[in-house]
Amino acid sequence: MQPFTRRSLIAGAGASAAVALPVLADRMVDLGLPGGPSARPLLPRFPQKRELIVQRVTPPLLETPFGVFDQGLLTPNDRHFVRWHWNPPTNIDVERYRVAVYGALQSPLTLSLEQVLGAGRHVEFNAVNQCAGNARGHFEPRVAGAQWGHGAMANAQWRGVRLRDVLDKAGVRANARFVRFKGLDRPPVDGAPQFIKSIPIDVARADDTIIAFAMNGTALPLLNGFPLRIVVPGWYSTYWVKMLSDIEVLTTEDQNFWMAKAYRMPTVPVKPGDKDFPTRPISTMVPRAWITSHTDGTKAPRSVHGIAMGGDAAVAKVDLIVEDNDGHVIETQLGQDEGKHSFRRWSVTLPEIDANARIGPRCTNMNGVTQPLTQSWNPSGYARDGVEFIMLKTE
Amino acid sequence: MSRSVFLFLALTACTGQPASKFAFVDTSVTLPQDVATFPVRAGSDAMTANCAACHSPSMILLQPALTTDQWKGEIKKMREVYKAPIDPAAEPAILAYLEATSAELGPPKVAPTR
Repeated sequence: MQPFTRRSLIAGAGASAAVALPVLADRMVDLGLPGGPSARPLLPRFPQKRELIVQRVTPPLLETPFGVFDQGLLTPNDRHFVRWHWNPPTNIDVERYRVAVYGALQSPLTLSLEQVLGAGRHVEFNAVNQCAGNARGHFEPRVAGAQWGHGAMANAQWRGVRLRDVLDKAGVRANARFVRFKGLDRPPVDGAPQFIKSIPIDVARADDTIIAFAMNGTALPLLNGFPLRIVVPGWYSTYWVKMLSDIEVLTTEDQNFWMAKAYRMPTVPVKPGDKDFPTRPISTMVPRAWITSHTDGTKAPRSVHGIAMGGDAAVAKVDLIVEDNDGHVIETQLGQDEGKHSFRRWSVTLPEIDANARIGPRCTNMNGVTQPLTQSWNPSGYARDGVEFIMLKTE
Repeated sequence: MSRSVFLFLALTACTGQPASKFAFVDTSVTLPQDVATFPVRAGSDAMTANCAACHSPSMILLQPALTTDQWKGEIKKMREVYKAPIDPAAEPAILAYLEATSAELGPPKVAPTR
């Protein structure tokens, strides 16, 4: 890999590109982040992975190139994005691997892989795994943090054992309120907060909250959490703890750093500079949609298509918003329903529109939640939900 | 040497198909080393010595233009929350380097506080 140069890093065009990823020289892409830096390398390669956008080598932050989302509804395992707060171990001995289950339980357990998979029947479904900070780099004003484009997400078919079945083997006590997960990643410095996350007990006991051992029919890549990770469909991936080692049942709200200080959303509208506003832990995802067939600067196409996700409910509809002199809202055709937590394809044939129009898909989910036309702002760049437009071009 | 744990499963719930098996195989990978470095200018040695042990330089170099106060906040967070052993004597050089990094991007368009 070439060392970064300031010139290459400042290459950002500053345009309002939603999905455009022009490939630059020397295996670089431009994420179109306003104000830059916008260029990212596609090297080095990581084990069990094909080409990904390298946001950070150590600990790895690897983004799925946006074009992958046009190739199929399921993201291949070797293009599934990667996000570690601390470095994971690079060796997993499957016979020695254990998951400890403890806390407010009748009988704490230590389970081998075989015992985890034997704890209940296996369920399988598609679900979008999306980082809370996906597309943080597109927020304006910009905010500090991992400067993701739109590729800190992926859709996979997950197979696993219900967390509930494992918890019930240990016997959950009546005072249980939260379930906390820990993985095998460790901070490099003593005293730094280990990455641990907790979810409410009712979410932990839900039908589709699982300990996943397979994605798209095969074992998880190590960088996606081999051999086991938590999957909480409809919730941001911060809760989908990888390389699961500990399940702890708590009787009070979790006060650890990653719940009490980080990954929190304001509960009221905020603007840059605001202080002391109330927050709560980020939780469920919101509807989103993207055009995958075209990018910024394209000539008015005859038809466009893309993907949508409903967040914590199925996709109900996707409308294409056309902002030109007239303004149109055009209902799109939805592709096959692949499950309520999956990406869903949409497509639409366009009427005559102005050559310099702005177009973007707007998803509404089955709970009636619709994407706003303008993106609101929050100080951590979480839970992006606004309609993602592309600019057409006269030529 | 590679060992596997084969699990024979009675049923896969969704398909109702009988007797599938799932194999976990010992896995060992080598993660790439980061060969990228901080561009050399005043303070780059301090950056390498105090920041690069825990994370890639790109985590800093890819940030949008931040204000001096925001960069101070990042240093404070690294030290107090993530326990980074940042040499207090190196802090002025680190801050100057960070300010120069943002200056190359033009005036900060970022939020004044986090």
